[in-house]
Amino acid sequence: MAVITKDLWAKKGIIAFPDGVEVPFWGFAAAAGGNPQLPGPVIIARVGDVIKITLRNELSDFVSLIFPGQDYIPTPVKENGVFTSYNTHASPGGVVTYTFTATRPGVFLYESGASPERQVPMGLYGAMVIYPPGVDHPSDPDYHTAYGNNTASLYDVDKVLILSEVDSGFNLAVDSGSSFNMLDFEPDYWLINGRSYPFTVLPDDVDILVSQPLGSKVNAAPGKRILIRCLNAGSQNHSFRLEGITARVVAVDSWPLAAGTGSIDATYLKNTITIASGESYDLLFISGPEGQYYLHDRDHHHLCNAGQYPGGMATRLDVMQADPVDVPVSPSQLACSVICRNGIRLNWRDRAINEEGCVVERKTGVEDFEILAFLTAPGLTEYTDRNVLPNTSYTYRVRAYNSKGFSGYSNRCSVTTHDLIAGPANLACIAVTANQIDLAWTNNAYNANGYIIERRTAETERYLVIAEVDGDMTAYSDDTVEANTRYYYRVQAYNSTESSCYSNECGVTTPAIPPGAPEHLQSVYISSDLVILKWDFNYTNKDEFIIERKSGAAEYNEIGSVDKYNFYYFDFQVAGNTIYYYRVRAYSKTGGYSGYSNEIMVNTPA
Amino acid sequence: MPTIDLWAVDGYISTPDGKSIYIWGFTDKAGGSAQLPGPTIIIKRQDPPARTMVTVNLTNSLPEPVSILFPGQSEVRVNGNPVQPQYQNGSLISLTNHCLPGETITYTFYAENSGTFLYESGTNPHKQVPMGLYGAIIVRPQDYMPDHTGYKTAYGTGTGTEFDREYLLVVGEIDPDLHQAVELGKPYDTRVYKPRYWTMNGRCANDTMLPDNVDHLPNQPHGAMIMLEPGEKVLIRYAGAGVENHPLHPHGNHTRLVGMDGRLLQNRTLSNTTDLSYKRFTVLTGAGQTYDQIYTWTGLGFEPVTNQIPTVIPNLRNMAIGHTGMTMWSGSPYLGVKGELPSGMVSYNEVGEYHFMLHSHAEPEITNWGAFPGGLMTMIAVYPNGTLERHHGMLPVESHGL
Repeated sequence: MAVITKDLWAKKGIIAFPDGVEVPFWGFAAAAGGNPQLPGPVIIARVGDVIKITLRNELSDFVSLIFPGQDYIPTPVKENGVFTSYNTHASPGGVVTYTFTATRPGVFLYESGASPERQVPMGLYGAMVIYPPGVDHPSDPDYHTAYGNNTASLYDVDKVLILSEVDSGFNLAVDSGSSFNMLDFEPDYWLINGRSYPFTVLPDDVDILVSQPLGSKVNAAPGKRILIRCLNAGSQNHSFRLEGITARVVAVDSWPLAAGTGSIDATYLKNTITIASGESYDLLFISGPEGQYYLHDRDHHHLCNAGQYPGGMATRLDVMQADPVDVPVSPSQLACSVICRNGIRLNWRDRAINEEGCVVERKTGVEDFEILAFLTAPGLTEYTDRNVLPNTSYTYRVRAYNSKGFSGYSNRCSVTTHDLIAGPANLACIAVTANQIDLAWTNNAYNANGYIIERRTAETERYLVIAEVDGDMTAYSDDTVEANTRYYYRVQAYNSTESSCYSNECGVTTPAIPPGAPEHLQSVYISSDLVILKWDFNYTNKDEFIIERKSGAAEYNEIGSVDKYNFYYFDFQVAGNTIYYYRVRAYSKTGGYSGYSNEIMVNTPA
Repeated sequence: MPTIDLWAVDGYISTPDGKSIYIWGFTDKAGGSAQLPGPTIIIKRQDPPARTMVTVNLTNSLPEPVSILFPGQSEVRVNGNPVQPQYQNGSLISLTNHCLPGETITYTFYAENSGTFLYESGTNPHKQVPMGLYGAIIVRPQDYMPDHTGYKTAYGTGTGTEFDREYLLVVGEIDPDLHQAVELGKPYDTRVYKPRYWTMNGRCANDTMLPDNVDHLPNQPHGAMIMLEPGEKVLIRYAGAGVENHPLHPHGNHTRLVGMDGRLLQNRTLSNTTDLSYKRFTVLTGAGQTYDQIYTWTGLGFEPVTNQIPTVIPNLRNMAIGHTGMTMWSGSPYLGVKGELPSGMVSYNEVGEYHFMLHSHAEPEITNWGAFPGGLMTMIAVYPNGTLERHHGMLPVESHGL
């Protein structure tokens, strides 16, 4: 049995999120002068080992550690009768050592026990993985098991996933010593092993994440036994989904559900599991066919970074025949060109066959390069930067990554946006008639050779080019439109070298064309209690006919309607010896009312 | 083999306090409106060795890509290939293959396991799932025969999952601000998500207690009232379709949890079978998960002659729901007996049946925008033996034919 000695320095650091936000945090460093880590360094031991942790406090708060699940009795601390810590603490600048024996296997938290409502969310937590003694010896029955022989925990690949949250406003306030009302704690970033997606799928120890060294992507060949060890260090509950996978729950809070020979097998199957704050679940499954499988919080609002999807608590299992043995070959032939006033298109050659994605970096002038985008799919050869300013020089470089690390950088390309052609603006459109829409816009370009006019209808997203006009034009009439239809337009300027961005979009609905009026209204039968009317109609756009009648000097009243297939009307509501006048008009839902037919007079017999 | 045609469309639902809320959802009727939850898909498995392949054709009439995830199902494929996540400009957009606006995509999967499952959008799920793009799938065992004793089961004969009636409760949440933002085409920040309505089968209480297919809730066709007789085994299937977890419990008795996520709580080896089912009062219905339970009402002492209960009857005003002068109470503490009620009080009690709640014990969730009663709540109605019509709690063997 070994003695595992671990020195931890509690100190301040900076963590980074994929949207470019950087936030102060408190964490544990593994070396003097080292960067603190989120989560703290993983402590690995075997059952029977003595674990001796020395905590050196470089923060200005008391700090202590607690070890839930261990055979270890903490010593709560009171000062002047007031409870201050769950366990003996180190004062600022001080040192405390905790020693205990690992008595059972599992995946456990270690976390702050002093002001834990602040210190744990600030980052003072980590994981401790305790294996059965024979885990490394191929001849031992415990070989490659999480809980020993006959515990249904034999694995080929194991991965610890530590779930947590960050409220960036909380971190800023606490780190700067401002007061923070814990009732206002509302996380805006969700983490696995200290990173938010897509940082989670980057390899371990990448140079851009100095305080977040742990990736969480799992690589495995098909047919392997995968053990996912989920540990919730946060203060929310998370319903963790293994997309496309049903796993066997083999342990809860590191108590195996099949606890060895003679015990019942109480393991069970789940595809999603709600993991309460502080709980752990060991989930075992056999990897399926090659492909990508997302492992993520089923509370989809935790798949966001500061409200923006995708992000947050998601990582991936990549099932592939062979793990990459090397970092990818660097991309080459990077070229960049301005495609519009606010867009720069990058193209490069992808020379790698084993990359998982790439990182695009950008700088202006003499600044340092900054990360512009994380592309999380393999095989990409282009990216459009839509966040550029006019009259600015940009330089780009690209590098690929896989689970072995980053490739070298591509060549650099530079482009300046000063020569951009300005786009047309203030596009307005009005429907002059049912079959004509007039467009007008403002010309911002001194160097436009012409304008391209594009149109779409409300039913389609895709614009189609309908016309090109000369560069000195600022108006256009579209006479190819149909009645009662909504159209959208946009206009783009171009010259011999480039195209502008599009103008604003304008939308307008053409007026409806009313149906034509019925003709040749006549009475074909007249008696003292029935009048039958008949008319002709030569148009298609109608839904019904409306019949109106008056008697003497009264106003016309609507007396009935018939649908569009009838050209007769039977008026049973007549009296004998009376003079009636009739007229008819058509109605369509899209075109409204037609004009009236001729008027006829009918004199019923007595 | 079952084939289901689904359309992703929009529509409106109603809440009991008079609101009309814009939703995105599924319908199985061409030209239909979005339904909340989506149509329940019920499949009966084939006799092995035949495998039960299910085909789902999704046509997208919404303005952005839509997809369907089938958690818990086997070999989910599109065009014969395993489904895969989808990216746009290098950024994740869908957790599975999606279908663009105006297009149709065909998913297939094998229903290898009996039980209750969800189907739900995997595209922009932070928006599309709360908007209503979800529904439930029930897979019946291959030996399911509802008219044969011992063969009307959730997981197959001999699994201890026989039932007399069954009820599916799909639960979710609604933040009206999200729905209005989507309707108006405005951006929505998930950080401000705050549900004001909680739904059971797409309805908020007290609409949950109305029958199926009531005229004024055309897009919320399913009621959630559980009706049973003493001693009957009632299969209650909870499905957590929202993004939050809800602690649900029925009053009166515990339930026995027999399966989760479409997997029987039983381990079987050649030599022995371990029954892992267990009784719970409250079941935390987790997001994206399902819980199959058998519930039997075993109340004692409802016989007015041989077993009189010295009951202190509560103030009659407290027996009404709200302050409406309306009550579900019979006027008697004895099952099957109707007692006297004060004049002016309207009783909807039919034959002296008992009514008591099944609800979320996160009590703010049994309100509609803060006002009780509402939200995640329904009633269990215990009818005297022999008085409840057979059709209550009878779901079809299959929903979409062969």
